[in-house]
Amino acid sequence: MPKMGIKTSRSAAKNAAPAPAPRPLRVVSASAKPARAAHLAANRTASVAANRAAKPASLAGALFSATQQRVLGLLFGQPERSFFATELIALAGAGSGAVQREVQRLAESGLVNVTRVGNQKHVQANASAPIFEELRGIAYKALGPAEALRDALAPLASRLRASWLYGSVAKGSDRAQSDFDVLLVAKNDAGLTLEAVYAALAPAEKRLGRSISPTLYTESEFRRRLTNGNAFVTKVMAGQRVLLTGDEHAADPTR
Amino acid sequence: MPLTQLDNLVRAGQLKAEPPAQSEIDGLVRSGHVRLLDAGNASLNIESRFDLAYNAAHALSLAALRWHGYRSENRYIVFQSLAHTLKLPPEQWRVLDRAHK
Repeated sequence: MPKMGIKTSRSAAKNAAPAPAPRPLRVVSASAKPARAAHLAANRTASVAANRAAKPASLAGALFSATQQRVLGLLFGQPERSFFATELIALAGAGSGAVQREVQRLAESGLVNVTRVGNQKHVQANASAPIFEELRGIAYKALGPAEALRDALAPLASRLRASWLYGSVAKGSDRAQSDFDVLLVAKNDAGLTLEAVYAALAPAEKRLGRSISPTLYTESEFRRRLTNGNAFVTKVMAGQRVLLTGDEHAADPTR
Repeated sequence: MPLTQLDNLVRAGQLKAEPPAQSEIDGLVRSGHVRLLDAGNASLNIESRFDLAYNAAHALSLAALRWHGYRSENRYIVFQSLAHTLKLPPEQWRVLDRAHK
């Protein structure tokens, strides 16, 4: 069997083919045409945005301010959870005034419920708000992909040293069609296959509505590549990434 | 044996229809088996073993596509067709599709 972790360059074959679709071959029919038109329109919109701003907006950035993203991501990413106001401020990592203003606006619009218990304020997403499901979907797809990936990888966690989300989503420069790039470092004796990783990630892919590109190494393969200055691994580890499972230092060759 | 999903790809110009030729299918299966056998040779470098295994997978996947009466020059179409030609679950054909990239 091929060594799954190896990144091979087959650029000649890749260039000869149209953009590789990671999903099953789509059944092309008359109904596919509007989808293609929408796709082209989305591309056009994206390029307009790219021309306007040096740093292209992420999906969430196009819709919400930074504070809104954090507050909505917490409240609608975990809608079953009631947050203390102070807790929300700490988790959002934003100024308390800014967070309180967002919460107040959300409460006034009926999107969240604020209840007082003694002198503590509890904030929770309002499940009966007319756009609750939509906001929850946005929080999940655009604000909290890391959470979705963590859920999907949880059954494999004991066989992994570490895993990271990297690439455009981790950088916050993702577009609607961006893949989720995930680097996984398996324990040497775990016998984890790329096939098992694809299977574990399938539900997250379905719920996120975007494809996930996993790259799997064993710990010794990963460390060897780090030591040898392998371009791909070096770039991922030097760039922005979000820890999904394990310990950030687990794969550090000096430890 | 024609498949509806693959017929749609023929209409979209992504796949060619071509009646199966038993001698070609036999040749592809033989070539796939030979390469797969050599890929198990631990005295070779891992890069060479990967190439052998990858080309074995392509030859065998193409044999399945030809058996159904189709052909494609695009390797990723050949691998992605496995979902229909051999009813392979996504996690299996996607590993091959990934190896191609």
